[in-house]
Amino acid sequence: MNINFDLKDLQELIPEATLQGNLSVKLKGIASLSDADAGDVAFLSNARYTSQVPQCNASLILLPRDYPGEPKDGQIYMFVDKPSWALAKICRYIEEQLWPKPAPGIHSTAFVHPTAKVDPTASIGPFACIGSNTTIGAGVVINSHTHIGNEVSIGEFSCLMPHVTVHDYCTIGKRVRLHAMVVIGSDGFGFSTLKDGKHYREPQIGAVILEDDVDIGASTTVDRARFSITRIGEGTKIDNLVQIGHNVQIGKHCLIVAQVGISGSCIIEDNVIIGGHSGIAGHLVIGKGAMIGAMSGVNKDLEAGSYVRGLPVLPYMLAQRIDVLKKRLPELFKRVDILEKEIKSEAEIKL
Amino acid sequence: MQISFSQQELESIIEPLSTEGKISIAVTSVAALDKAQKGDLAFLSNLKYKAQVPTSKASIILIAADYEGHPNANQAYFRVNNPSHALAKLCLAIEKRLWPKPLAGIHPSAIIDSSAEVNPEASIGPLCTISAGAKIKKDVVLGAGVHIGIDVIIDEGSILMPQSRVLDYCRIGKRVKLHSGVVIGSDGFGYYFNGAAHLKIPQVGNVIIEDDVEIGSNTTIDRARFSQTRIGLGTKIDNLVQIGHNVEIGKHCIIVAQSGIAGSTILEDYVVIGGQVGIADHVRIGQGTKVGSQSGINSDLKAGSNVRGAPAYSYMFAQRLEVFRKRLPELFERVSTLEETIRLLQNEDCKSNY
Repeated sequence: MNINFDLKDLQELIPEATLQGNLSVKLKGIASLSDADAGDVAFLSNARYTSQVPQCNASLILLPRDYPGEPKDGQIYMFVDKPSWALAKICRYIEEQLWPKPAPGIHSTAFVHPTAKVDPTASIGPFACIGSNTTIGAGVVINSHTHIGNEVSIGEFSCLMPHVTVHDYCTIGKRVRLHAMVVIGSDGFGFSTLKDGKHYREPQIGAVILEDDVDIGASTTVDRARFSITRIGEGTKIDNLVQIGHNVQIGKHCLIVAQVGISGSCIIEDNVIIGGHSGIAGHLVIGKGAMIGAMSGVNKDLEAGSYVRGLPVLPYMLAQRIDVLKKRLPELFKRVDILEKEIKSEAEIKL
Repeated sequence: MQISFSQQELESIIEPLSTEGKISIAVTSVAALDKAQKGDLAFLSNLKYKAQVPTSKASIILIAADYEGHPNANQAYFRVNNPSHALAKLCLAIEKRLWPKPLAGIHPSAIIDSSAEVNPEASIGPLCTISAGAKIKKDVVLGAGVHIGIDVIIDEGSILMPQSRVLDYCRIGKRVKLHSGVVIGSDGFGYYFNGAAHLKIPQVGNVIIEDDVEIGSNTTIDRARFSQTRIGLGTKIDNLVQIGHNVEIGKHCIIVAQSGIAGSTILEDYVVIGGQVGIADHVRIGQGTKVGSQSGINSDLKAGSNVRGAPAYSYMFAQRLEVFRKRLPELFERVSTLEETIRLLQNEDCKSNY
């Protein structure tokens, strides 16, 4: 990638920054503290890498305001409140250069049903398919091979990456981003097992609603409700390969990390954070602001503000303590052996 | 979605054992017991929600035959053997209205190889690809953008949702449903390590999906190294499941989301696998076995086993171990106390010896 930005651009992007040092070359890229060379921008966010700053060859380093060092010659220190967020602003600027907004219009190979309403400012990519009575809002970008079913609504400025599927009757809010291979509104996994041992499909006639500003990672699947709605609340961000079961209700501004599975009819209240690869059993309520560590198994309701982890989950500190004690199990067995011997010899003395 | 059913229509669709109460208005939607309003139909299947029945405002409630309460005014109970299955009957009627069967025929944007056979009563959606020698039988529905590989057979009445893929030489039985993003017949994960690099072992087998199987979104089923990877009659697989090469799954099994089954493992009939389970390669899971969520299976399981945990233990034992896990801090304290007590006893013995 060939990008160019000068100091003036950065100052416009991050006006609150204070500068120290001078710049000798043109800025052309972003690199980590250890890899950066002349022309690169680097940043210190995780304190773990503080010792790499003095040796760093980057031309510009984003640093927290309380960083005590001084730049080398030809290097600039840019002091900001949150280096990671400042970097995100620069990345947004680069992103706009790398991926300019595609031209509005419908690609000649795309299939758009005659009853679909596509806003003239929307962009529909090659081999995309838009079903009947579907509405595509202003500024929406539908990338190649994406399938939108019948009676779907896609809110303005949403972006659907290649090979996404949005099934019939689902509603996507504004500024939603769906990454490649996401499937919204596939059938919920509902079967009645009757006396003959066979599994009879329970039709899934509900829909999925994604509220505004939701982000969903590659290959994640969100099932349609058995009836009524599976809902993902405003501003919630979901990582790759996550499974959201039918009738799940996810609140606003939650974070759900990769490979998490949420079983049917769970209610996840606002601001919940779920670590990677965790599983949540069916019909549970996870209270507001709860935090669930990675690889956990949740099998009961969690109160608001809970901080848990483990399989099944325990309060975080207890789970940590048990992990430490688990490692000491061999020692415990030895101590019990010694105790048994000592008790035996005590008994012999008594006799 | 606009639906409307009179009590009489509902009785003929659901066929309850008996009805109690009468409503004069039409039912226009289905809702949960606590959310239901006038005009809604609700059901009691999970007994966790039993307490919500007397106060539910639903106009009709599907309920077990032995439920003891009685309907409120302007409310009716439909007593049935299995409320969940009874609801499914109604949902099926609604589904038929929401998703009428697509018209037969081939969409002009689909690409069909000249040697492929497509039954005139099949429906091929926009932008599908059907490769050489493939056979698409009667009443098959391919949604938009479906890819069918070389010499694939899709048997009668199967539905392939948009963006599903069946790769070369695989076989799909009758009335199978493949959801979006499913991949049938990708290469098995097989490599030979020659001491320096992992060399590709060609995967020349295929995948056979028997009749009445359903496979959830973005699930992947790898082709066999040779011979077949097989999914048995009536088995239902959820989203994001991984089935390795040469796996043999029996009839009427259930596999919940995000589980992974490694190569050459055999699941006998009626096995139920919970979500996020991992099963090692080359093991045999006996008929009717139940495996709890997030378990790890590393050895054969006898028919009728009920296990859970990573690694898995018998269900009750796993439950007990969990209770003891929580009590580990207490155990360490008890051992420390014992050690102190012994010390004291030993000191007293020392004193008394003098």
